[in-house]
Amino acid sequence: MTAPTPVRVVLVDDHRLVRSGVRAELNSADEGGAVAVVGEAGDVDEALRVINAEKPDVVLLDVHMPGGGGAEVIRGVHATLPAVRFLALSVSDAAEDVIGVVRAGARGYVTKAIDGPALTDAIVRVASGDAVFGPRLAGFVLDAFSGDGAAAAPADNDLDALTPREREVLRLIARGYTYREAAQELVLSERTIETHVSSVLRKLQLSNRRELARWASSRHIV
Amino acid sequence: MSNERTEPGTSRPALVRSSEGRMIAGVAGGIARQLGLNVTLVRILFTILTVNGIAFLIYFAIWLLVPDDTDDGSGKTRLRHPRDVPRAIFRGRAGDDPHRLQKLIAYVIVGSLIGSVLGAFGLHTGTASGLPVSVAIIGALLIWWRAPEAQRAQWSSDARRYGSRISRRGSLFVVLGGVGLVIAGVVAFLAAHDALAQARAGALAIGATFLGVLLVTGPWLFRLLRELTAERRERIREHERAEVAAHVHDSVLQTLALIQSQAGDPDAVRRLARRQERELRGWLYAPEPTASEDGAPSFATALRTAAADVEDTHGVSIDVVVVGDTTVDEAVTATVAAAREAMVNAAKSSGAPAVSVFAEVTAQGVEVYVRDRGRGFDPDDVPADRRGIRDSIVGRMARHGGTATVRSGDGGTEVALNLARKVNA
Repeated sequence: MTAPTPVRVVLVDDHRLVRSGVRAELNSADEGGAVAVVGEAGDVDEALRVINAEKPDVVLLDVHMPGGGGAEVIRGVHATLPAVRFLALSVSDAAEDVIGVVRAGARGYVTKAIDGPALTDAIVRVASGDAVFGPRLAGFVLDAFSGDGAAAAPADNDLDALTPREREVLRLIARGYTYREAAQELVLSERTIETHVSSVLRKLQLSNRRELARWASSRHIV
Repeated sequence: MSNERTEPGTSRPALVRSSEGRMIAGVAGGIARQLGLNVTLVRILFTILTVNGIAFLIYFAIWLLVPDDTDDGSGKTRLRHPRDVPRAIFRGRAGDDPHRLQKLIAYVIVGSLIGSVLGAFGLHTGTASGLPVSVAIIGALLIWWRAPEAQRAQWSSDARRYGSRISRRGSLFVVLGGVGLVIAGVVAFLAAHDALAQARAGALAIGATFLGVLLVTGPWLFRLLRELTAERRERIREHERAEVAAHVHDSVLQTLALIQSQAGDPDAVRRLARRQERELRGWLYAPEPTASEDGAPSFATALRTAAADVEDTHGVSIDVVVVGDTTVDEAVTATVAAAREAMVNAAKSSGAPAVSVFAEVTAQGVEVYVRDRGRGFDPDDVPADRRGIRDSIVGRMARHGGTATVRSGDGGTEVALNLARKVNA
């Protein structure tokens, strides 16, 4: 998993304690030097400044921040630096906000309860263009896209429904499986699992499914 | 609602204003009922007596002093202030009144009548003033008629925010129309008496005085109003802050104090922190929606509660992800109990600090997965006296028509529970 050059990461969170905690967690877990924190920011404006200056590979983004949420940062960066990838990291948020960040362009969502190695892994994954779904986001997507799995007629828009395989992959992730474990379980390659998750992410970002909005506003992911 | 008050043969009922079939305030109806006369007769009498003004005064006196027959003594409709009068007439929303149109017509008639009467005998001004005065009075009645609603719309910010724009405009138009009628009536009255020039001088003086007073006191009044609003907002904010502070004190600060006193015991600290986190989350975010409307606990709630219990007792963190939900029956309860047992096992034996629980409710049934990343075990090696898995998990699921499979290895243990939904469900 160790990349030849470390993945350059910027931490964006309005709590300094959280930033230093995440930084410490990354440093202690990351023996191979896969990840290097190159900057921190405490609000949206600072984040835009730091990201534009550092041009990191991955931005670890808090969902809630003063001056607009993580979605605001993503929108501000996407136009000028489309190569920067975002991973939403959050304690506990309304599903609405999490979905907002993902639909704004974040490549994944993990909770702050994630341990160091898993977070490092997630950052490396996001840097290489994969999507990262924690169990909660997987559960959310399953719930939001539920109800049409058994339907005989395929949905008009293939963005609005999950394939049975995608569903299977998501269920394993929701059960706490890593991509590798899920690959073993389904006798697939890890790469295929990644493809499925990326496809689900695309659906989550592009689908106009009514249930997404309705569900998100009525519930909290954590 | 008033039948017991009109029973024949008994002593006369107390004088109350009639709420049914009233034209203005139910005075005539009330009197008719009290005296056992025909309502129309009383009304005609009133109308005739109005000519010399006496009935007019009597009517208003009764209106103000006599309670409504729907007044149950709660004081809601009792007339304490003159401003209660319109509310007493149009109890509830004016839109609910089935006789609105009739009442409007009645007001027009009453207005014309009063105008004619005043014109005819009170003011010795000839017939020309009858119509203008009537117009003015109709206008005044119109304003009055709409006043409560319009005020409600204006004074309540909620109404301003959520109220229908059109209906507010409608009531505004009625009031404006009323004002216009009053002004037109007064102007016509004055014109008819060639008093317009004088009136203009008088009005100018009054207007100038009023404007002067407004100029002097206006800024002060404005500031007072703004201060009042600011103060009210501040009070609301203060109230909310106090509420949050009280909650934070009762929960978070207490827990922090406990954590400090038990700083030497990492398990206890972790447990306290987890419990506080859960509690705070529950408070910050509305409770999870449940599948059942009748207040019965839902499967998701039951599972989360079980996980919270195990978390508290055994000091591990348990992440619960639930997809879908269902109501609780005996088999579902057994599934939750089995899941709980699996969580306890994971917490006690695996050595893993965290346990993931995933549950999915589908059309086919309920599935629960309890997974840890601790040291696994061989189910066949479990001593016979450790009956947790065999009885509490596998056996329990089997008794309710479900299955339980335990997979354990180097990567940890996963207990999968599957409860097929009943065919008739």
